[in-house]
Amino acid sequence: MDDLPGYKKALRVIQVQDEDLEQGDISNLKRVFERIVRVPKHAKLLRGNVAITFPKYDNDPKAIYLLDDVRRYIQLVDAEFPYFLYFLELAPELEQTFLWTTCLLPVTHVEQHENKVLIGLDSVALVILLVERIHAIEMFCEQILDESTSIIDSILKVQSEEVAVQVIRYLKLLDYLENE
Amino acid sequence: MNDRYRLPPLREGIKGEINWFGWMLTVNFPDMSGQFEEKQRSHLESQVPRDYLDFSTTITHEGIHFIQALTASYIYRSACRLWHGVQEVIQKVRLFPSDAVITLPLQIESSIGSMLNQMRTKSRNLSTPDVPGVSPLDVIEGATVFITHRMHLENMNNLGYLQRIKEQYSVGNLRTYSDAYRLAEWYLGDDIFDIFSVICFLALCSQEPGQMFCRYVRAIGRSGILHDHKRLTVQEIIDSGIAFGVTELRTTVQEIDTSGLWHPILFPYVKKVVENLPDRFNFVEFAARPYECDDVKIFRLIRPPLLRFEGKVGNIAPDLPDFFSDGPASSQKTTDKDNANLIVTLMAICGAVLAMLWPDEYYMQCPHTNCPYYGLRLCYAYAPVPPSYQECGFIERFESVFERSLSTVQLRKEE
Repeated sequence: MDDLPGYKKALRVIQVQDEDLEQGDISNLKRVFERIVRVPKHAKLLRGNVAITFPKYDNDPKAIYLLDDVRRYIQLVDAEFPYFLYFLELAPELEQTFLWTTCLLPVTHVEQHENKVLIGLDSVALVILLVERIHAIEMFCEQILDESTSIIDSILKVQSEEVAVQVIRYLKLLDYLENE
Repeated sequence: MNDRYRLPPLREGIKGEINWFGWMLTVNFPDMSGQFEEKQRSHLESQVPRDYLDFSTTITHEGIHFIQALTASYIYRSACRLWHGVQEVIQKVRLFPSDAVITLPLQIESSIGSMLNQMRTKSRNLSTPDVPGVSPLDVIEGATVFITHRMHLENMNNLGYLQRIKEQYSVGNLRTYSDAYRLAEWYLGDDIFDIFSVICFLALCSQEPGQMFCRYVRAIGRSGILHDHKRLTVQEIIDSGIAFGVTELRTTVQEIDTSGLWHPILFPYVKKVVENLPDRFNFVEFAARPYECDDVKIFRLIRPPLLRFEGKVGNIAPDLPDFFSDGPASSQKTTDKDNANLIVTLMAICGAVLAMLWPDEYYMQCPHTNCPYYGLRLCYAYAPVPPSYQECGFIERFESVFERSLSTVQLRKEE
């Protein structure tokens, strides 16, 4: 299977079942990923190759990151796998980083502007969240012997410059404190 | 060696071995020496009889150990330390009164035991649920099995190799042939296939190969270099290591230049090989991936000094270096017979020293159970077994080196 052209690049789409979403049940996803994260080479095969979708809302025009059951589901996955961004395809056009971070933070305001929804997030909370998740990814990469810099770059690339600078500053401080 | 002397097989179950003192390669198969050179690099297993494949891969396996000794400092240094350990024991035995009875095991301090233990001690820098760590011996044997497979089965891939080592090397002591690969594969996946022997070679150029192997696996994994670039050169892997603080590597040549360590067999070989390598030949790249070399002349240049087949007299490599020219006692003119004699004597005496320190642990290939010294088992490493024990050359060699009669050596009786 590994020999198939493009095998490692193929995107794995996790379609969360309606029932799991409604009941806030992450056991199906948890069972699969618990097995994967135990074996470094398997985890690496999924690095940046996963997208999470919710078929229940495929034809719903609403912004899914504002929906309670989606937010709850992401929060539960994040609580179990704080480094889950390691697996997500972080290309900006797929908006996986945006989905993930938005679901984990309180939305301060929502504004409907023509066909777009504009939301407000607490920037301090966003910085803290990113620092924590990036730190979790670094720890996970250390454990499975993988490189984390390019993932961190991808996560920060879609943030505002101000947020990115602050996150980097905190990460350096954290690194300094851990090495002391 | 004398043509009248026959060579009995090795212990049952052993396909081949290379002696770390005299570096003589012994193969436990019916004589196939005539077929060897034509078919050494057979590519398709299905076209080759099973016996021949086993025979051929065994020679390759043991021959790889010899390449390792000539290229990677850890093995060269270990061989030198073993040699010095043997000399220390000989010196101590000589200090005993010549007519005093010596009982075995010898009650003297020797560095040999701790050295051999160290080779088997696993570094636990990295582990998996199945592999608790990696020892220097795991690196040596892991690399050798891997290189041998790649030389003989060119179309093999990571999955094929994993399947083979699972079938052949997954139980008990045999795991030393596969633990290093399985550990690296656990972390790096099938990307390890193109760099495994390089990491092993670099680890064997260090003081602590088990630990260094783990450090390279960690460095390469953490660098992420394999995400975009699968087939790394030796230099790229060295650079990845440097970025993670891995330095202090030495090839055998660098070890000799730096420390001046001398070994009676390996030193002249290293000199001969270096002098005869083609211009611009990348010896380090070769040492790290010998399976990529198609130049038969290179393999001929670095084949072990003696090949021995069951039931056949020793086959001396046609271009033995002059072992006496650089040694402490150089002679005027040296023949192949002198050189072969040196190897045989060295192996016999070093083997005797080990048997004096740890009696009863050695397989006796000699059938002459009526020999008065048979029970001592000191001669187990003496290669040419004579037609009768009265014609045996071991006793003379022993007495000349230890400066005492073999009859003064006794085994302590078990109480």
